[in-house]
Amino acid sequence: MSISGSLNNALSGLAAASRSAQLVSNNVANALTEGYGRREITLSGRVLDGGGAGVRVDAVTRAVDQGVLRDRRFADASFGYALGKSTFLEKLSALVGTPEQDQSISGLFRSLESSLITAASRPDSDTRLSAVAAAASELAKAMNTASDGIQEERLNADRSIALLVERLNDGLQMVQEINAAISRLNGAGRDVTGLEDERQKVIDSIAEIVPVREVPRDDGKVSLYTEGGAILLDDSPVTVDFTPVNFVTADMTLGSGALSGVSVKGVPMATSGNFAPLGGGTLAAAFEVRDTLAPNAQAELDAVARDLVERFEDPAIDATTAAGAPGLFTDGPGVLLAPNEVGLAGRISLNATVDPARGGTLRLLRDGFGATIPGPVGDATLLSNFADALNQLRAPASGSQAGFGQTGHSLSANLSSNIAGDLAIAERGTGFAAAERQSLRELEFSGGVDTDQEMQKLLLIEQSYAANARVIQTIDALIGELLSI
Amino acid sequence: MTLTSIGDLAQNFQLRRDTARVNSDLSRLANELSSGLKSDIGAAVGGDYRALAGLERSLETLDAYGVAAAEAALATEASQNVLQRIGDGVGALANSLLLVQGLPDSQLLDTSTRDARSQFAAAVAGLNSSVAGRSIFAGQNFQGPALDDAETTLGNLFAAIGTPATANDVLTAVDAWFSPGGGFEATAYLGSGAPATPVRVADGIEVAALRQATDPEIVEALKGLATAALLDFGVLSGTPDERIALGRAAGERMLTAQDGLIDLQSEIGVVQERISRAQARNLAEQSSYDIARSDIVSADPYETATRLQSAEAQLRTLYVVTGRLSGLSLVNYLR
Repeated sequence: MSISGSLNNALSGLAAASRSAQLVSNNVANALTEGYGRREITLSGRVLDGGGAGVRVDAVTRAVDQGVLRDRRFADASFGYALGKSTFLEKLSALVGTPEQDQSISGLFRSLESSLITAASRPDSDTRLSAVAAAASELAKAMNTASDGIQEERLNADRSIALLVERLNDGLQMVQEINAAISRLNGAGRDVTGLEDERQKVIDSIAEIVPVREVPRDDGKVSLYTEGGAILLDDSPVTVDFTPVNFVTADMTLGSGALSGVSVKGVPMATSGNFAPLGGGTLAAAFEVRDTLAPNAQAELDAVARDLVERFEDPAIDATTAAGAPGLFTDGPGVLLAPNEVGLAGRISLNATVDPARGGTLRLLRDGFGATIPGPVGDATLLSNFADALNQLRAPASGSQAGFGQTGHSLSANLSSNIAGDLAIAERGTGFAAAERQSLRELEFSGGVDTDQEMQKLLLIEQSYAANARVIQTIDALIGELLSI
Repeated sequence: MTLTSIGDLAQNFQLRRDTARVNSDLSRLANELSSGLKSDIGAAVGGDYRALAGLERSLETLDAYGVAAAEAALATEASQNVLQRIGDGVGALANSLLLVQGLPDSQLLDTSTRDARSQFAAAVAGLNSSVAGRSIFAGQNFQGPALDDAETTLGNLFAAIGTPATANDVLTAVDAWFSPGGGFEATAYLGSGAPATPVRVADGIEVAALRQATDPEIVEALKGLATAALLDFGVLSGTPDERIALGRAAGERMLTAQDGLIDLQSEIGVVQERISRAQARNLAEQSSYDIARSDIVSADPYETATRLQSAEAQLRTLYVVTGRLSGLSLVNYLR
């Protein structure tokens, strides 16, 4: 029976060779597929009654370096987090503008000052007075636009949180289904590598939203935990809850209850701080934009707006108005009251009494806001006082520059500088995260399909197949010999 | 883990990334070269815009001060011209009036007083002149003339002095009319009581560029001319001796007034000098701030061109390497 034994051995060799060829062809076909785990075949000798009996295909495995995979996923999450923050800061810098641009807030402070100087030289010129009104109005409008832009970014962040939470929940559900399918097929002894590829892709997309750790369980299943320690999937997936809003204004915050956070089964989950359960990815970045970065930017802008309004409310500037009367800039239609500072930048406007576009009288810029009869057309006192007020060293009452005396223009320059400084730091962080991510991706790709190696394997497989076929031929000849007796 | 193979994607990924990076560098440098400005000014200032903001503000305010200084210079120049003309006229008249000694010179007196009347009108016209649409001797009332019509004023003066008997009476009455609070300020002067506000021509430099027709030196000159012009109106008509005395007194007054006008002119000259010093300072500051600003924001064309060339060379090398590496595959060597 050794001849039939040899035949069986040879046949098992053929089977192994063709299985190997199948794997090689699969690998070569997927050489360009990202996320494809290079298939490797494990062969071992088959044992029957203590003796060798051919070759057996042990298993088909995916050659994936779990360490590199985990690091790369973490780098993806970090990059997403850094990018979310730096994108917002870029937009903020564009909204406020940088001093070399004439249309920036800083540039409009400059035009207001220079229009006051030229108007003081010829206060009788209506052209120059309307240039002052226009410059002041443009400055107020630029602040309004910047404030609106910041709140819009908060709304966008809120919307993207809703989207990310939906994606997270869907992803966890999908991993659960694939887990079930894998454990079923494993039980039946079938090839699960295709499903494992799928699962890796889904977990990759989850890992950008929240950094995850993948922990293998029995039967080929996996559990998912976040880096912060929260359970995302362990036998069954969690559902993350979030309630989006339709509009966002400056006074709406997480603390006031107007905006929602994320929670699981009613328990709120933090996205920022050390070991935050859902921190570190694009979800955390969106929350940081909505709840920290944007409100801080709004507060700084409001502080500049407040300083601008209060500068001109000094009763010594205009002899025709009483103390407490509104100055050149107003909070919407009225006087600024300290508790109303939140969102002031969105409401600041030129005093309507001197705005011709809103029924005001231009000459009051020269005669005084409370002047009932026209004064001498050559009186430049009030205009000079306005210019002085703009240039006076005054400590703002709020914001990061509070307590440091500065002129109106230097306050705006500091605003731009602080934003630029934050942006530079954030961009450096993003650059570093991007570089780390790139090098880990490269490392991951290095473990992928190498067509040269597959070709070399193919050479061996060809040889092995030919050799086994030759053995079968020989055995056939032997049997033939036997039969021709 | 020792790698026995390196995946296809790895090398390709790196080459693609490097090509993209060099390409974006190339386009950025080309942009900088053509526009002359750095593309990332935030990086150029290291995130701190305060110095650049200060420079921009200074440049813009210096422009505005330039406008103000030019307007002030124009006004002072015009004022000087007016005062010069008045002073010359007053001086010439004074000389001819002082030649009047006695009755035989009554002819000279008559011509001189007629001349005085028209000189008064000329002085009023000069003081009413406006430059670039504003009156320069009306204080803060830029929009209107400084003085009322000359004839009307002289008529008012003539009516106000009543019927004096002697030259001294006339002189006292004229003094009273032209003194502060008198008929001149009430009826003839149309400008503002308050002087024109000082003009800011540079940071921290204010100049009083405009005078008023009520300035004492100008009033003295007008007084002298008016006193002589009254004789043409027929004051003291019955007493030729008094008329001659009045004429001589008017001549003496005009001589003093001429000195006063010269003093006023030198005061205005000082103001003019301050304005031109401020203008010179502004120009110097402007050019140095301009240089400082372009140091920060402009891209040096030579350096940019060199970097552009090296980026080009790098990209070419990258293309050659990519081509070579793609040819190195075992597949090409099997059969």
